[in-house]
Amino acid sequence: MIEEQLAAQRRPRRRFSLVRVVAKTMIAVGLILLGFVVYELWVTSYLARRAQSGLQEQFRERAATVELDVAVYEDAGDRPEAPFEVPADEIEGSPAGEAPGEPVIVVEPSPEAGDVVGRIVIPRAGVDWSIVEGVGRSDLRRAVGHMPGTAAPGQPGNAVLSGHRTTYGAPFYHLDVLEGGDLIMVETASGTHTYEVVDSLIVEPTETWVTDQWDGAWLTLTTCSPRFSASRRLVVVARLVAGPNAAAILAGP
Amino acid sequence: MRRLYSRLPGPPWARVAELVIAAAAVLVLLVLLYEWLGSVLVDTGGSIG
Repeated sequence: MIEEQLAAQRRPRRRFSLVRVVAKTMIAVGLILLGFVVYELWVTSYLARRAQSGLQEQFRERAATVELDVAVYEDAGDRPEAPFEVPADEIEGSPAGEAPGEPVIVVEPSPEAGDVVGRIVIPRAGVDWSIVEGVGRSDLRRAVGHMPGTAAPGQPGNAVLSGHRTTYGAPFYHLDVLEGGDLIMVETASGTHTYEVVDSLIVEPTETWVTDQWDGAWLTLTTCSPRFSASRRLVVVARLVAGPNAAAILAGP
Repeated sequence: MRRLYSRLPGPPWARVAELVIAAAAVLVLLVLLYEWLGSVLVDTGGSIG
């Protein structure tokens, strides 16, 4: 009799206890998810913005101290044509390319991994960010990253820059608004190199052909697509149209 | 939290210190979890290959 009474008293308590455990678990999971959203959207952006101010100072130092070199522009020979249609050339002022003899280009020494490369400005997409050498996690947390092994901005070949789309300040959040003819300015120690957007496409993250080195001077921007997903990549391809090396490279060796 | 505090060994100051250390450890683990989740699901940084 007593045992039955005890059992009857226990049953509701157990049920109540189970509800409490489930409720507390759901609250905890909710708080963790809320923390995730806050961290991804605001904390990472704060960290990136803070890093940016230091990088701007580093770039000013680099631009003031780095020793530039002038080299004769020679055709690499083994670089294929870029797989994009380009409009007729409209080359703007290029001190290096105005030489009547051999075409020469301004060359700057490669920065060390993690060091500042320059600055990218895309007026239409509201981009004004520092660029660092490397596309590792630690690099892209601070800035737009230049992919090692690809051409430096303003140099012959294909300069590949990657950036976050939604976290760490989201430098490339509005990259999808770019259309053919939009301008991209990349400032390095050798000057400001202006590129004109040629094409925009969505590819798989494994499609490394977009980082291939092509004949001429190209800039390829890559970021995640769609927003808030790492499943694919948005790629914007642009070609050099103005800057210290534009005339020499577009005229050819 | 009170129950956890009462279960901790040592004098009150040591219990507070233990709680602070535990909270810091949880925070670090959460940040690592967020970093990993963010880089895998939300935004890798857009690099190719």
